[in-house]
Amino acid sequence: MQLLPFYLVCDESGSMAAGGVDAINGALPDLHDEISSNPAVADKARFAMIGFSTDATLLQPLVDLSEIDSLPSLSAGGVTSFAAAFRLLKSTIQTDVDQLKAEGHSVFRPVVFFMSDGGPTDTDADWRGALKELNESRYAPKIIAFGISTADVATITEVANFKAFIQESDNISPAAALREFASSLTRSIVNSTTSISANGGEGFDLQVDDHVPGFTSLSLDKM
Amino acid sequence: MDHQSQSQGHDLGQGHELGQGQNPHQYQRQRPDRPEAADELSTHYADITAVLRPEPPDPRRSLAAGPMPEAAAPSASPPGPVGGDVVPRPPQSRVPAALTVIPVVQAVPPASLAAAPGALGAPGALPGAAQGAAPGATTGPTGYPATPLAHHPEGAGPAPDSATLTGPSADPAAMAAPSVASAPTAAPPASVPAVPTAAAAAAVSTDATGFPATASPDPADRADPAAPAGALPTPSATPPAVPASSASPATAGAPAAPEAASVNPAGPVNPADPVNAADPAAPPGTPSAAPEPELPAVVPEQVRGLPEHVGKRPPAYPPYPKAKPSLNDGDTFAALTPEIVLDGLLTDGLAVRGVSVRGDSHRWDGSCRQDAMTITRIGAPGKELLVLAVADGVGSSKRSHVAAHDATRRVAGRLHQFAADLHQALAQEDLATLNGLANRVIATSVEDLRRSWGAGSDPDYSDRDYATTLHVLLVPSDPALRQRALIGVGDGGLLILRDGRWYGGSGTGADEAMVDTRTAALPASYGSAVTNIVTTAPGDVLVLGTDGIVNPINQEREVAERLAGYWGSGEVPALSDFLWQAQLRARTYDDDRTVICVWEGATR
Repeated sequence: MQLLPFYLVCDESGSMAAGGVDAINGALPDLHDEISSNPAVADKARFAMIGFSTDATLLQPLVDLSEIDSLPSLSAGGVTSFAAAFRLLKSTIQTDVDQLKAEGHSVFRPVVFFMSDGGPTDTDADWRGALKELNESRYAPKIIAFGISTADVATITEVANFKAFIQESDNISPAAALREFASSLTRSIVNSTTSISANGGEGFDLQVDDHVPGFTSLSLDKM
Repeated sequence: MDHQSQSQGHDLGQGHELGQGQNPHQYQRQRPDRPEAADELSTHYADITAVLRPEPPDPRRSLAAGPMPEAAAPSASPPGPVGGDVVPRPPQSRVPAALTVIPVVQAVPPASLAAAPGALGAPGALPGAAQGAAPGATTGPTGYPATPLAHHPEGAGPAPDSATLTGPSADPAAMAAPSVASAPTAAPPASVPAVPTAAAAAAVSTDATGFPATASPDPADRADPAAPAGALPTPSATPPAVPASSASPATAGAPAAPEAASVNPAGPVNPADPVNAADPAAPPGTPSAAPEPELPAVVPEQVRGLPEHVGKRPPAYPPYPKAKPSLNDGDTFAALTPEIVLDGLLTDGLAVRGVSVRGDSHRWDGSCRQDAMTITRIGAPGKELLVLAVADGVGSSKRSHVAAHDATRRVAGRLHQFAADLHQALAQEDLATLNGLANRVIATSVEDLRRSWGAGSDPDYSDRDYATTLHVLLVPSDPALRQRALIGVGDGGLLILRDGRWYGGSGTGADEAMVDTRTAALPASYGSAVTNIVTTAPGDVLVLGTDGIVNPINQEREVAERLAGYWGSGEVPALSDFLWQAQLRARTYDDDRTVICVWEGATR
């Protein structure tokens, strides 16, 4: 099979407690339904979910969403270790892609949706080192980063390697922004996976909204 | 729609006739209520089968001579690959032999097809090099590496490091493969089909797909290194027998041949014996219990039903066409493009079946079929060539469905103008001349097409909107000529089934995906057409396809094995069976499919 793995990497630090994780948890069933019920997406998309705070946890191992009934929930608590998230992401992707290939599948480059509502609590050297290792890894993913609430523009821009968005705090609440984030990533999964057919199986076009309601699109070109 | 209502009317008419005192089941048996039609049919079949009947008699016939309950009651037909052949195959033949027997991973040795080694690269060359049907190369690497497909999980993924996974790992000296002669201009010293070295040169253990051939070839399957390289092949496969039902397009899909009915006492419909014919629910009984039909009759149709699938689960898409474009959408061509094009022919020593069918994704989203196919004959009698062309409109290109359709036809027309020269070049294995002619044909066709599409007059015209791949196989009608010309632009291409094993494997795609390469395509995104000469042997099956079929064959072992079983069994399928087989479903392979098969050595 020709498979496109998606990884949702969600901040579930203590600051996400006030409605943040609830907003995501409330949106996950829609994401699940949308993907598993669309035949143009269901077979090709694989989905995994990582939550990170003080540590990172593989909440949902990479799965064919049509084979599970529901996604696990996020729960808030702890600080915000980007480094833990990137390290777990790197090892998970490595394991997953190797496994899929060992099963005989063709695997497209993984796509990561990274969301945080604040800045990393690790040292700059630590999280930057972990991010660098991820980006230089064998199956380096494409990363779309979303910053919510107090997230820092420069940090979110640095994490992303494909597209970055920052919440427009004046126009939208963090909870509403998170719902928009979930809708946007669902659309992205659907449209990107559908593009595999348009490319005759030769590749896919990573489709990300140009404008996500409540967010400002950040330029990745500024160094 | 019109067609549909007509068929319904026909069915209703039959039903009405059946209402006149005959068993209502009888209508399932196709024309049992019209003895005169059955007579016509049986006469027709008698003529065809007389010349088709293999000598000595095919053992399958005796196997099929027993009662076949499934033939007696159409509704009892088991799910899965129910044969629609007139002569029911024994149960074991329903299971493709390749499923268990054929080591697809192995490089296998019918050291047969003459080759020019240069373009194939020396043994040990990275498959990527062999694959370099490089758009920019004038005539370069074939794009049709003549190595057996190796299915191995490790290399299947389009990982960035896929090249590192693709080292040859088998002993080239021990193996050989059908090979192709490539256009010489890229490597002049190699331009002469150097037969003695061909086998070694072609012996690359990996195919262009990047699948490493890690399995150790079974010594029994290895070519004898001592055998004269390039010696004419002795394919173990016997030339395909054309079952009566598939003797010609005209008869394909027709219910039965007389001799099949005569060996099946439970199933035959004897127009002269309505009582016997009318009771499909009757137990199979014993042969002796059933009266010998006095007239040749037809067996009940065997319903194939929905296409089968490989793997544990079928694709998530529904297994039938759903959405279809409307004239209201503004794209007339798309709205009028049929779901399926099915074609075929039989000449002396060549049986051809071709189908172009819309893929699941287009059936789902309501796009038209963007693949196209043309099967025709060109040139004067005696120097005739079959033109078999497939094209895949590039999905992201707005008018690619028009481009693919027009390209196959326009190129066939232009080839016809040069048919005599092409035939001569092919007969003389003059690859340089052939390549020159082919590229001239492609170039002039592109000029024609661009003009007809509005280039120069339409300010909105863009070559990018009309991108399509194109692969053409030229096959001389003269059975004494074994050379076939292959002209290609873009992914997809030719595979060869020999002795149940797949060879070739151009246009893999998957391992290019990580680097986002795009296929070469007409009218503007290609350097030159890649021309090859392929020398085949009776028993070979040439499989020309778009990536919609080539990719799953290359990437899904089960698809490769199943289709090898269907098409490499030595039997030419009926058109309707071929259509059903070509639609073999595999999850995530939802592209349009176009495939033309040539059974070499099918005799009449």
